[in-house]
Parts: sequence; structure tokens; C-alpha cells
Amino acid sequence: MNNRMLLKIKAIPENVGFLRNVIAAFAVPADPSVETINDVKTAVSEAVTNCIVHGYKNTVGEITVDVELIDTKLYIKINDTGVGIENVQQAMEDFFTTETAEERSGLGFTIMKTYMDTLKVESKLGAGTTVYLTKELIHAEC
Amino acid sequence: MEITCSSKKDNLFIFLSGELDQSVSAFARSTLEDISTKNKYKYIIFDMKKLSFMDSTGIGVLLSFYKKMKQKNVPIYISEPNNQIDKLIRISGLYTVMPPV
Ligand SMILES: Nc1ncnc2c1ncn2[C@@H]1O[C@H](COP(=O)(O)OP(=O)(O)O)[C@@H](O)[C@H]1O
Ligand SMILES: [Mg+2]
Repeated sequence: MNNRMLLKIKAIPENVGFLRNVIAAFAVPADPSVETINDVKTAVSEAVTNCIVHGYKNTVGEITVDVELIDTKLYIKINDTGVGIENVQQAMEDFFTTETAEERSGLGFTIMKTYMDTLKVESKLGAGTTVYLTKELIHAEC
Repeated sequence: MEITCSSKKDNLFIFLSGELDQSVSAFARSTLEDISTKNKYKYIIFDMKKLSFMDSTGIGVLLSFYKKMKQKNVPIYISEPNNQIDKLIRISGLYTVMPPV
């Protein structure tokens, strides 16, 4: 099946759960395992939380989500037009966080990387951040 | 999400239910702080039987709680996380400071 969904939503914490569940539901027709669905949910939760907590920090913007299902492969694009990331390579390191006061774990990108097949981050200071995640949803059993 | 507790001898059981993410992180932080100041205990056990989802924001909440309890020398344990949460706790390394019971 080939399918596509484009969604624009207010960047508020209440929408983190909504987006991970919507994207999980979108992937269901490919018939992934429960573990695969949970991996997708967790990775999406991380990407969306970052838009809200870091991208828009003390403001409220919008998050744009573009999801495609091509056969059994899921392509997810999550974008904010917030502050952007100064050093993407450093941001992606395990345990790296700029929010030490609020005690974040610095594991968002680590989880996205571990749970999905690919992770790509595009960011521009003052313009925003786009995270691309892909995952093959079906793994043949042998 | 919901957070409740009960004590048994020296053990304080903290029951987490629902989903622990950014939408409830402030509530979770302050409720844990509340529970930890109002009770007497030697050990804390997080009962996660009814926790359905957690992400790294939850790991951050649990880690900052761990740091506070460490100052009081109170060990914390994790009980019955579901598969999604178990995997997250393993990957994040949280089990090294909060072992499973
Ligand atoms: N959408 C974003 N906009 C701006 N900065 C971001 C964004 N996503 C991530 N970052 C930066 O990358 C760092 C690492 O992110 P992450 O691995 O999710 O850890 P954490 O969210 O716990 O800080 C963040 O602390 C932040 O500085
Ligand atoms: Mg994060």
C-alpha cells in the first residue's frame, strides 16, 4: 500500500501523545509487530518533544508532520520553524543536552537513531529544524 | 497519568499509571517530590505495571528523582515495566541506578 499524510498542529505538550498515536495508526496497515510500532511511537515522541521543548522553547509555534508509507517502509518528516540547532553533530551525541536545569536526559536523538533505520537532521539557526526518520516495518522471519 | 503510593514496612511503593511524557512531566516531578517528603521509608519501588508508555522525558524525570534520593541514601528499584518501557530503560542505562526487582 502507498499512502501519505500531511499534518500541521500546534506545538503544545498535549500533542506529543496525539502525534505518536496518529503516526502509529498510519503505519498499522503494513501490519508491523507490536515492538516495531512501539519503536516508531517512541522515536516520534522524541522528535515532537524536541520541537516543543527546544525549537519553540518559550513560544508556541506549529509542527508539520509529513508521513509516507510505501509498501512496508515508513518515511517520517517532522519540522519546526523554531530556533534551530547550532551544532547538529554535537546535539546528536549521547547524553548531550542544552537543558541542564530542567534535567533532560540528552537521549532523544540516541533513541531516534537506535529505534529507526535511518535518522537525518537538517537545521538552520533562526529558521528551524527538520528530522527525517525511516523504518522498514516488516522483517522477514527465517 | 496518575501517581499513587503505599508503604509497607520500610518500603515505599510508587505506582505509575498512564503515559509519562512531556505533557505530564511537571506534574510527575512535583508529585514525586511531594510523596518523597511526606513519607518515611528506606527503599523506594516504582511499580510500573500500569504505566503504558514512557519516553526520554520520563527518563529525565526519574533520573532527577534518583539524584535527590541518592543524597538521602535511599535505593530505588523498578518493578514490572512493559516491553516498551523495559527497552527504553535498558537503552538509557537507567537500570544501572534503578535495578529491576
Ligand atoms: N527541534 C529542535 N530545535 C532546537 N534544538 C533542538 C531540537 N531538537 C534537539 N535540539 C537540541 O539538541 C539537543 C539534544 O536533543 P536530545 O538528544 O533530544 O536531548 P534532550 O531533548 O534531552 O536535550 C537538545 O538539548 C537541544 O539543544
Ligand atoms: Mg529530546
